[in-house]
Amino acid sequence: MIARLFSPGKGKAWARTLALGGTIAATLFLMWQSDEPPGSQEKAKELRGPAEPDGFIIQADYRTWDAQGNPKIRMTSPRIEQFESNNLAAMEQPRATLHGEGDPVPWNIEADQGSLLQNDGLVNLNGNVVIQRQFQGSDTTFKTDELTLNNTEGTVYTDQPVTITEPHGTTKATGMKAWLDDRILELNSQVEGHYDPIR
Amino acid sequence: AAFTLDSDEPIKVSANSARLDDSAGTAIYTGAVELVQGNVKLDAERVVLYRSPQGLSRIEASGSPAVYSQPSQDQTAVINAEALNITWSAKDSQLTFEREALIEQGGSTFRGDIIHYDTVNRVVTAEGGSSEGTNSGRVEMVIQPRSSGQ
Repeated sequence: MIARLFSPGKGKAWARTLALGGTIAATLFLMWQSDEPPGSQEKAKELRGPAEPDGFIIQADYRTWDAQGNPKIRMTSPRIEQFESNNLAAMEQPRATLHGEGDPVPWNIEADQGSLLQNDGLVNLNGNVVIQRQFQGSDTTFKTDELTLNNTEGTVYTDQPVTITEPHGTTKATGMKAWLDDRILELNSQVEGHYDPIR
Repeated sequence: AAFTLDSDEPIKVSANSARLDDSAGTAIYTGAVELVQGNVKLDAERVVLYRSPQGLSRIEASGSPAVYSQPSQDQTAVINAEALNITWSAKDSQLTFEREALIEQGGSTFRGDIIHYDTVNRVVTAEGGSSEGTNSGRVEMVIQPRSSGQ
């Protein structure tokens, strides 16, 4: 059928028809455009935001599951902006729940800002970063100012000061790396632990 | 009193680095480790703290040597002790000094391969260990005589 469309004789008639149709459509579009109220352009620009992302989501709720259908990550944010050029998603006040492999107890993470680098499977969190976890009925809380989550490796790490609060003590250090699935955490330097006596 | 988790004093640890293993319930501190409870002090190269839901249950320190010091209190003289391994167990309320162990208190010294110090009853028991050990498998005690004026 495509061959007939491009055969010499019949081709000219088709071409004229197509051109005519295109002209009519363009005219109608221009007429429709001119009717649009000027304010809506402004509103659209405002909604898009100064960074002019390629796409944006309001009240975002991003979830992933593993092959068996178990929840793996849930990330919510009042606003996520998507930038095609570097495949980056910038998040306002991200709130995440991460489920470690075969670990029923999730890690809850929150921060002021976050950015998801989809190509590298990395999430960078900045400002009041808090990781919280309940284990055997007791709370463990990590606080720092910057944190990177490596979704591929299942690790979180920072070179900033970190404070870890547990029911029986507090530990401070500079620099940390944690393996979520193995529930192991390494503190890089200037470690200070404070353990309360058994009550 | 010596290390005792019954006291109201918190235990403070400082070190170059640490590794916390949530599932094993351990915290391993390495590099210039200093562990303090009140004015009792333990200096070592590596300290492993065993943590249960109730809190700390065991401390294992190693160094070359690890050094333990406890100031004088209620008429007991200052205690300075050292060994390649020092272990504190909450269950037994016992400090164990192993390998090249030495305890000094009020001029008296105890030397042996293994020295146990019962922190509740303040009893020291020493073992010589096998004869191939560095101190020929014997225990050595030097007890300072009381001066006649006392």
